[in-house]
Order: sequence, then C-alpha cells, then structure tokens
Amino acid sequence: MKNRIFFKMLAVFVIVIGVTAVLFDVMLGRAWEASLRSQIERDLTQKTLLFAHRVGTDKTHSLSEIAAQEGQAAGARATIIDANGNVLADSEAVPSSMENHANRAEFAAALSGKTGSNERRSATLGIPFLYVAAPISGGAVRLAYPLSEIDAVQTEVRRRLLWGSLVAFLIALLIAASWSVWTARRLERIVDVAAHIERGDLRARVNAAPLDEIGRVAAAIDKTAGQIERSFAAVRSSQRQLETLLNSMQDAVIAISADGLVRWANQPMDQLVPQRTRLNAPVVETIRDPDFLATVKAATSSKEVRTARATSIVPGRAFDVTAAPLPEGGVVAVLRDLTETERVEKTRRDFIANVSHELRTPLTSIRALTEILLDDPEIEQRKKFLGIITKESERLTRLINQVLDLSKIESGKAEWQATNVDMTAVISDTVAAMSQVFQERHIEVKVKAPDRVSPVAVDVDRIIQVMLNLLSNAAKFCESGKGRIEIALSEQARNLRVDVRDNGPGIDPKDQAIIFDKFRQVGDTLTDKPHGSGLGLHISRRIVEHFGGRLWVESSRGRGACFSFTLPTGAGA
Amino acid sequence: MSKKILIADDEPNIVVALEYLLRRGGYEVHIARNGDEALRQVEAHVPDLVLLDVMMPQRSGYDVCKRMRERPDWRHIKIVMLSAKGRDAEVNRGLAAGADLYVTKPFSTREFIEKINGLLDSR
Repeated sequence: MKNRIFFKMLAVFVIVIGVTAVLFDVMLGRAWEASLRSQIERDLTQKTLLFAHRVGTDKTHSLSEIAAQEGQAAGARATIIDANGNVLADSEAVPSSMENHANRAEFAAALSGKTGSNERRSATLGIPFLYVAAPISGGAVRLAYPLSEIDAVQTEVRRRLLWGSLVAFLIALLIAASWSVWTARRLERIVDVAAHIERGDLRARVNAAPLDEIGRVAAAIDKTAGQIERSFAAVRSSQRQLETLLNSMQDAVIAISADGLVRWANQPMDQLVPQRTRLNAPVVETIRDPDFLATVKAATSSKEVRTARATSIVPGRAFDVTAAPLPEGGVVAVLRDLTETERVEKTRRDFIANVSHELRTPLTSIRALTEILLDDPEIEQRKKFLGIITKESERLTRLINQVLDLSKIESGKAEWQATNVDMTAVISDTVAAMSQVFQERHIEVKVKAPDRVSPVAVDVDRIIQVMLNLLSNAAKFCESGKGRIEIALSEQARNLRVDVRDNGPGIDPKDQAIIFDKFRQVGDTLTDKPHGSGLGLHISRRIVEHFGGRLWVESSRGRGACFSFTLPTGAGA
Repeated sequence: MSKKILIADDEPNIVVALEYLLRRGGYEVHIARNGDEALRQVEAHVPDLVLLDVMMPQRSGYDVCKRMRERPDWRHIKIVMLSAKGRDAEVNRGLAAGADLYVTKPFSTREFIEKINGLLDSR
C-alpha cells in the first residue's frame, strides 16, 4: 500500500519494456531473415548467371563436368536442361532418371528468356530449396540451394536475440525499478510533508533538489508552507497583541456568540465576576444583569451598537455597557465601570454646589443690608451694618482666593518659589499680624521658639498663609476672655515642627479626619460657630505636603486642639 | 397684636438683616441659631411664620419643617425655607417637606417682605 506508486510505475515499465523487447525481437528476426534470403537469392542469381555463361563458353568440359564443378563451387545442386525441359546434366543425380523439368516455375521463366526463381520443397529430397534458373542457348541452367541451413542460422540468431533481449530487459528493469524506488521515495516525502502540514506542523519542509517537476512541486509546497507559516505567525502575533491590549484595558470586554454563549473575555471581565467567566457557557450564567442581557440581545438582533447602564452586575457599582455586533454574528460588549467616574463627577458637582453656597451666603447679608441702608440711610445701626458688609466682602474675597489656590494646587499649576525661610521670623510676623484679633477676643498668646533654627526651603507667602489659617482657626475656637494659644517651634532630626495649641472645645476624634476635607467644618453651638469656607485646612495641608511636610491634629473633646506641621530642613538633606 | 415670626438661621449677619427687615415690617421677631433651638422656640412662642435656613447645625431646615408638619396644632404655621442652595431638587425637597415657600439666597429685600406679608395676609 505504501509503495503503490512504486508498483504501478514498475508494472508500467515491465509492460512497456516487455512489449518493446518482443516487438523488437520479432521485427529484427523478420528483417534479418528477409535480408538473408534476398542476399542468398542475389548470390545464387549471380552464380546462376556465371554458370549459364560458362555453359555457353566452356567447350573443353562436358556438361556433366561443368554442372558438377559449378554445383560444388556454389554449394548447390546444379542442373542443365534443354529447351524441351529434358535434363542434360545434374550435379547430384543421373539426368536420365530425372523427369522433365519444363513445368518447374523457375525453368518456365528461364526458357522464356528471363531469370526465374522459386522456393519450394524438393520432390526428391523433401527439404526446402531456393531455385534460380537462367536461360542459355537451347536450354537453361539452374542452381538449387538448400534453405535448411538458413533455418539453422535463423534459429541461432533468434536464440541470441532472445538472450540479448532478456539481458536488456533485465537491465532496463533494474534501472526502471531503481528509478521507480527513487521517484516513489521523493513522492512519499512530499506526501509525508503534506500530511504534517495538514496536522498543523507548519515547519515541515520537503527540501528537495529542483531536478524536475517533482522537485518543483516540492519547492512549491515548501514555499506555500512558508507563506502559511508566516501568515499564521502574523495572525498569532496580532492576536497576542490584541489579547494583551484587551487585558491591559480597564474596561471589561466579553465576546458573546449569536446563540448567547461566552466566546471570550478579558482579564478585567474575569475579575469582575467572582466565579470567573466560563467559556462556551451561556452568558446569563456569568452576567445576570437584565439591562446588560437586553442590550446584548438588542445588538444581536438589530446588528447595531447598543448602549445601556447596568447596575446589578456587581452590587453597588454602575457600568456603562456598549454592545457592538460582530460581522459574523454575536456581539462584543464593553463594560465601563462608572463608579469612579460618577464619584469624580459627584465630587465636582458637590464642589460647585459648595462654592456657590459659600458665595451666596455672604452675598445674602451684603445685599440685604445694602438694600436696608438704601431704604433708610440714617438709621442708628448704620455703622454696624456697614461693618458687616465690609466683613462679608472680605469673606467673599478670601473664599475666591482660596478657590483659586485650590484650583492651582489641584491642577498642579501652583507656581511656588522655594527660598530659604526662617520659621522663627514667620511665626513672629504672623502673630504680630493677628495681634488685633487676639486683643479683641482677649486671647493670650505664647510663643516658644529657639533663637536659631535651620532654614526650610519653602514659599514664604504660602507658609505665612498656613500659619495665619492655623492661628485664626485657633482664635475662632477659643473662648472669648479665657482664650490661650501656645505656639511652639522645635527642630528635630531633619525636620522643623510647629505646634499651634488652643484651649477651645477640642475636636471629636470622629471629626478629626474630616476637617481636612474640602468644605467640611465642625460647628459648635456653645461657642461662636466657625464662619470659614471649609477650605482653609485642606489648602494648608496641601501646601505643607507640597513642601515635603505633614500637617495633623491632636485633640480630644473639651481639652483644646493642637494642630502641628513639619517641614524638612535643607541642612539635613 | 403684631404677628410673630421665628428666624432660624446659623449665619449671624443674615439674622441681623432679616431681624431688621421684619421688625421694620411690624412683626414680633424671635431668633434660633440651629435646628433644635428652632423647634424649642416654635414650642415656646408658636409663631405665625417660621423662616428656616436649610443648612443649619444639628438639625437641617428640612428636618425641622417635617417635624413641624407632624404636629396638627402647628398646621397653621407658615414655613418659608431660606437657602443658598437653589437647585430644583432642593426647592422641591423643601416644598415636599411641607414648606409654603422656598426663597433662594441672596434675595431682594422688597420682594421678600412682600412675600412674607402676602403669606400672612392670606390667612
């Protein structure tokens, strides 16, 4: 079975060579025989003509002697007859005992003046003879050549031809067989490589020498395999790129077939659902959100991109679902987690609402009091109202500046020039700037600071802003008349530390974290409620952190609060 | 007898302005600085109208409004919400809580006093 082509080729060769040999044998034998006969006939005719000539010219010998001599010379039987067909002399028999020869075909032709020949079995000897007769004056001569010798020669020639053919046949067969083996092997190799390629082994090659058509077929297969291998590699590479890309996405991606089975999912999708996506399982087993499933169904049937908001894929999280139909049926769905986006959006909306609230509040007093003063310019509270208007205007200005500061900090565009700053000077300057407020509220202020501290590399205006924020907060919460603020400056390893301690109501531990948030403030009905924007501490913390420090609070209810911040000293670096 | 109005707002300067406006309009004025105090003052004085700031410490204006509307004997008290938050959602929330009017800060003093007079005259 394996060498079917070999046996087929071999069978064809055997038939072709055999038929050729047989035909060759037969034709050669025939041609040789015909040529031999015509040669003998020509020879015999020549001799017969010489015999006839001698009978006409030789007067010294008797007819019998001439017949005997010519017969011997020609290796044939010589016969002379007269015009009537009576035998006058014969090389092998007594003429008188021989019948009339006039009706023999060759003699009949000779007696009519032509050379005649005939081949037949001799009546006397019973073997085949070739007879040639030629005319002479008053009769004819004839030579009879026994063909039995030709037959013997012919048999020998045939025997040799047969042997020769047989040897040639065997040699040809051997060559044909070995060529068949070689060709069959080459074809087998091609079949083998084709089978490898069929099984997916695209690296298989025939690597045949391009000798002939088989070699060219092999080369073509190799070339095709090479092209397929390259295209496969390209497809795989782009598939890997796509997979990497899809897996590195933040959005979850899932491919669903037209009959609703999960075909593929990226890693974020796997992480989204706790039991992981199961391939070739119905998508409803992975994602049970009705909005999601409806969107996928709509995209599948309409062949159009559909979007929806799904909230029950993962409890507490909202997803933006985009389902796009695939050309070959089914859909690819992208799930974008909106939780963070919505949180950012909510923060932004809250911020705007808070800013607008904080702007509207002082504007309310300003507008109302201004309108009152326009209506009744001479009222006794006139001065008080104008004072409030001024204070509220300052509050508006402060708020706008803080919002601008915050916007710069958050966009990273704050252009702060760090210079070497002496914190001792900053503290004494800010305390001096606040002295009027402290006096008005009867607040006692103490500063404890070493004579010299290492400078810190900060923007001096920003650090003054932080100090003023902490001092005004402390002043705001101090009980009027009994208030005390202690400011301490100390140098620790590579850090300056500033503490601002008040003896106000203190801050509940649960509130201590939120006071640094934007627009968060803690009110207290027992004291004057704070009228800050809720941005001051947040901005102060951002400033301190910008320069590599920390800002925090330590406090407990009823025991005052201590706000502290650190700044790294340039010397320690 | 002049009608009683309770101002519940934690912004002292706004209270100053409102107090002046309402006294000039001929009303008896009481003041509360937070939600709880507002409820106590309503209990003590039973005013004809309450001006409620929405964002107050301890108890929001919405909450005070709801609690007041739970008391049948306070049904007649007019409630005016005052807020610097003027979005539709907040206005609706205030009206849903039982307020008769929602005034967004800042406001025109003339229009404001006209609205207050209108509310108290219609009774």
